[in-house]
Amino acid sequence: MDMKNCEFKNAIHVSNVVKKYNSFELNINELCIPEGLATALIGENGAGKSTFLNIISGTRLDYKGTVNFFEDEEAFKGIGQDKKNRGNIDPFLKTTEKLRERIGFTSPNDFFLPEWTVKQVKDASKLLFSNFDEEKYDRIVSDLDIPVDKIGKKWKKVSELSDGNKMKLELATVLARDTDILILDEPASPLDPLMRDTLCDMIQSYIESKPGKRSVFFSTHNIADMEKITDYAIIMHKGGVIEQGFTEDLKEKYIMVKGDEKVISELKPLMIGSHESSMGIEGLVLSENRDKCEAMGAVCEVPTLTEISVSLMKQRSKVRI
Amino acid sequence: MKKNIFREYSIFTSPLYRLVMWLLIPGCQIGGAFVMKDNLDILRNVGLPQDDFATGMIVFAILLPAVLSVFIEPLSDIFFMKSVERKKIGGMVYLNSSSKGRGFFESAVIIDALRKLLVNGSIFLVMYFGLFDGLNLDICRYVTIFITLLGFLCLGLYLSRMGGTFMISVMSSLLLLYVYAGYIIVSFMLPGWVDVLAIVLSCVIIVFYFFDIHKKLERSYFDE
Repeated sequence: MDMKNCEFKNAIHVSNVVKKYNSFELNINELCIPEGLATALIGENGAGKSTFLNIISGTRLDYKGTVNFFEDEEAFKGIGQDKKNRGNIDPFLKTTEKLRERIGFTSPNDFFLPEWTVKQVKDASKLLFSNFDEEKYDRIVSDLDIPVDKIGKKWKKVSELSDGNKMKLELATVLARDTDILILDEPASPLDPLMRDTLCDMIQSYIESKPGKRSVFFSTHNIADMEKITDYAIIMHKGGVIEQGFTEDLKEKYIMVKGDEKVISELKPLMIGSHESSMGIEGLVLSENRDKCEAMGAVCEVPTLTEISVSLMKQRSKVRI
Repeated sequence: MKKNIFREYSIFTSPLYRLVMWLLIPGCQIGGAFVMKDNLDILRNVGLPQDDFATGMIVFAILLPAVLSVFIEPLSDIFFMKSVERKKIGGMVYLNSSSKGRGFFESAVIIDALRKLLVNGSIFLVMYFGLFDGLNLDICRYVTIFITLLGFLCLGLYLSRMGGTFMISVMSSLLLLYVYAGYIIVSFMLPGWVDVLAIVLSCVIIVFYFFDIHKKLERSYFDE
């Protein structure tokens, strides 16, 4: 796909990204992530979400392909997976310095050095990013109620924080910077329901602070919690993209159909990832089959993003009970 | 030298670590050596014995506080580069998300390596002029013992990091301490080419140690 083929102004445009790791292969020919909106990356465990986010955040370099940012303004290029021809990675880091300043990335695993104290995180951030605002960081840390106080004379270590507080600290470091895109890997997973709601508000206000300019791309398993802020969704399976689109478009593309036990055999072939019980059958169906379903007396409803995602994943998943 | 190199170093080390490793332990090592100063006066009058083994024993005894660095450094490393483990370095994602991150980490490693060189070098210098003065100790042999100490330090740090647990650090450091002590004692009995070999081996270990850290840092950008 040419850049022109992106139907919208894109924050990220991925071209021919291939990465192999043992038996897993991430293979994304073309993918556009819209600018100025919140995009969710959805997929079952092992689908390649974290690998993909690591690649587009520039924290993994061993892949083939290109990740363009902000309408081709800047790019990360993979250095391939051939260990012998890899060479020095310093030029890759130097040429992407500006771009890395514009990206805020969080990840649930191995993010900060475990022996760092909360104070060292702030000191490190000041040195690592020229756009880090110390006062804003302190304000966010206080607003999010992250326990940073000294215990006696010792500062609290990152390793002593709960998973939820670690994630809040990560969010504080990226939100305290003047970035153009946030790439968040599973930000909601370690958070409590209240904080998930706050996270949605934070993402919304980040985007609204510079309308049309700031984008957020996050992976999540908590689709229901994050649905209210999701403008665009990408569903991954086994290293590839199986569905993508604006949330409203996806809700028009599919319908959720419920039929009683008499129509199971007729409805089942139309369904994507169906669920059967003694009461009947329920599953996702393409909207173009609405008339057929209604003719069978089935109830058609607008699906939630969770239902769309789960049905598409269920159709392909090897997980069976 | 980078402008912020010492600030970067301070991000990786606690004030307590810096106080202990830059001042307290070197102070104790030098102080410990000077406790023996009075006992050396007799030796100073008669000089080192002609017997090479006895010379080795005496040099080792005088150097003992400095030799303990072979044991102390790998253990103290747990409070510095705890995250540098077997294959790659954990907790590097935030550093890797900035283009300055890797250099930042390398600066800290370099400054701490300089500390090891400066502190242990200073101890050896102070001991040479303060304790070995008048004993006609061969300076080349003395320099060899110092370079070998650095080799043993790097080997201890490497083994300690590879082992990953405190107990393995203690065991490997203790073992290396005995080997190094043994080397000092017998070094006066060995032919000159062994000194050359010791220097070459030490240099190889030191280079390998830094190469290994560099590679581990690089590997944090790769899934392998």
